[in-house]
Amino acid sequence: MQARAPGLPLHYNTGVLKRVLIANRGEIACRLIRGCRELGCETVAVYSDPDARALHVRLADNACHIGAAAPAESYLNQAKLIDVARAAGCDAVHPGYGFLAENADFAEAVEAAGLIWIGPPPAAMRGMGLKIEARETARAAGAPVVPGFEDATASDEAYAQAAKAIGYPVMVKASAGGGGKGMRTVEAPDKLSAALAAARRESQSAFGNDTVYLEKLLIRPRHIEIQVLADMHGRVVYLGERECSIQRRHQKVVEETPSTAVSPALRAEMGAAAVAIARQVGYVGAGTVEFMLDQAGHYYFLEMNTRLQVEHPVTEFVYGVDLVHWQLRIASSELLTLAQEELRPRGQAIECRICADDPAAGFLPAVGRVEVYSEPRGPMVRLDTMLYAGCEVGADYDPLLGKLIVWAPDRSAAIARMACALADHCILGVTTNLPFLYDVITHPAFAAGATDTSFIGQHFPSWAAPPPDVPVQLAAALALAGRGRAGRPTAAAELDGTAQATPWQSLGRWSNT
Amino acid sequence: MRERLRIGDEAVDVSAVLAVDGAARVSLGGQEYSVEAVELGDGALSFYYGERRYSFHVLARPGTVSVCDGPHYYNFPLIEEGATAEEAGGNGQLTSQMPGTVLKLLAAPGASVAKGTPLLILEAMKMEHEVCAPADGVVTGYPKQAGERVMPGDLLVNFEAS
Repeated sequence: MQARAPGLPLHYNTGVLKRVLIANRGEIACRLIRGCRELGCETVAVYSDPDARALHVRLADNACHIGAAAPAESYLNQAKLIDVARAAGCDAVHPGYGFLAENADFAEAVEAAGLIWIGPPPAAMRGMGLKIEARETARAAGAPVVPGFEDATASDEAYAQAAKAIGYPVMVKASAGGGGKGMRTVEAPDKLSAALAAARRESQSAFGNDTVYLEKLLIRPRHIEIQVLADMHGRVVYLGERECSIQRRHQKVVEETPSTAVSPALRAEMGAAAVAIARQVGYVGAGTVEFMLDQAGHYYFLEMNTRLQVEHPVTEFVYGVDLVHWQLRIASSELLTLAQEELRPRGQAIECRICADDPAAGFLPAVGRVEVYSEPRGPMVRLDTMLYAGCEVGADYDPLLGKLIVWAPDRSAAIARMACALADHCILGVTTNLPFLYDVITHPAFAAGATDTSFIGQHFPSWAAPPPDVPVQLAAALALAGRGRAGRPTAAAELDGTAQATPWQSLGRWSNT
Repeated sequence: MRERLRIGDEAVDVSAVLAVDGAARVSLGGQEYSVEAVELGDGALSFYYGERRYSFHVLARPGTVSVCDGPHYYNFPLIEEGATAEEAGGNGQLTSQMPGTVLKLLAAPGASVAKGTPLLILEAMKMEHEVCAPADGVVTGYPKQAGERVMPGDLLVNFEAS
């Protein structure tokens, strides 16, 4: 593939990074490619068999096939990725999120190959990679942690005693976990051993590590996380919070900043705690310190994500920064020139995660080809997506298709803008959660800011589309009638010069039959 | 042309006859409707019905018609000639929507279960998914056993709604 001319480099590109391997796929690969191009860096995409026609492959300057669909043979194939980076003349590797983003062994291998790792130092990743160690680091930094029990060698009986001492309900969590995998809520003692077994099984299968630990289950907490940026020269700042309380099975669905529950004083306190944790672990780059905020306003350290987060765009809108640019600049040894006192939130940003799952069928992942597609437009509407008309959505990877992000001067305006943008976004051919997102965003409890992690379970114990009204049924009948006969001008129409005919005319052609 | 669509729990005969001027007569379950200024192209459909203009995105594929009404989405399965009442009614069978592995069968065949009761755990994309009873009813059997691979469209649970 021919390399495309790089974009006009921004003035602050110091030229350290000339070509970056994007070791990821999907919407985040597209996001990273755009960020690189704006800084004048070329990009090399990688793709597995089913991703040959993926959007990130089209966007990148160059693209290399790396293997079969199974992640172990492609996006998790460390040796292959490093070979590709060297062969393509890259000077750096950006891992995105997921896949190898929090794999310290891979970061070390990248550096050992003479390449720049666009992420934190491997030691900092190790310090935060296993949740049990991360809790110790947070304690050492003086941050409160959720009460728990974390003896990896203990018997199930010892766990049962610890759970009793902590007090039910408790959470069983995978030490290597993330994204809700290897996590179980236990309401009563008789359910504990089954939950331990299930969490170990899921953790072993997802992370190759079956160590679990216990945490007290906070009642209806909010999930509040703090974005931090740290450079190689000892400067660390926080960029406010993101509230990610709207979760389904511990997977974030809607995120926003600022949180309705965080006052300027609490923001400063949690921000300082996050900065202390980042310093404690020797952090460099963009990272996120996750906390739980209980109903009484007490916060507890949960974990640190040593990478760019899915929901980073809300912070970008409200703080007026480009986090990917900063990742690249920090990796180029630049000084972090953001001053903490100048980082103030402005307006409100909300993000919705668009997933290929069917809300009417218990959110089972859906597959298909995007046959009809239109994107939302308008001021302060951002769509980070992997989709395009004709794109195939398979079952090989995470069901996240993209993210819709809006900004407005205040929260109610942002909610209205998001509702309109969701209604404007049409995806037909693969079932998505778009209608569910709309119902969440327009729910009165969301408008009231009454958001905690029980939101979906409480307000949406089940979900069904509203019954179709007469116009919708008329639309179905008309679509059926026009099936295969509308949309594209026929060859005859092109010949007789009516190829620009209105769609109705092409439908009218058969109406006499 | 006349086809049958499943709308909600009902099998509905639908037909549409279009005139050259963009007007159409649509029949839904025997009820007649007049619409005007129908335009359809590249998945976008608009028409006047009553005093209002309506715009949708639509997709007619073999077996299904889908309608996107702003934030709301509807799928209407086409009912083939000679389909049984059960197929037409759509109550009954739970199929997999994705490739995966059956992890565990949770209800005994023959058991009466309440709506929402977990019947089976399917593992896909390294996550466990519960397949639950769509209504009160009886589990009459499991076509796939624990450990078996399933593909989209494979039947997971035989279920009779009561």
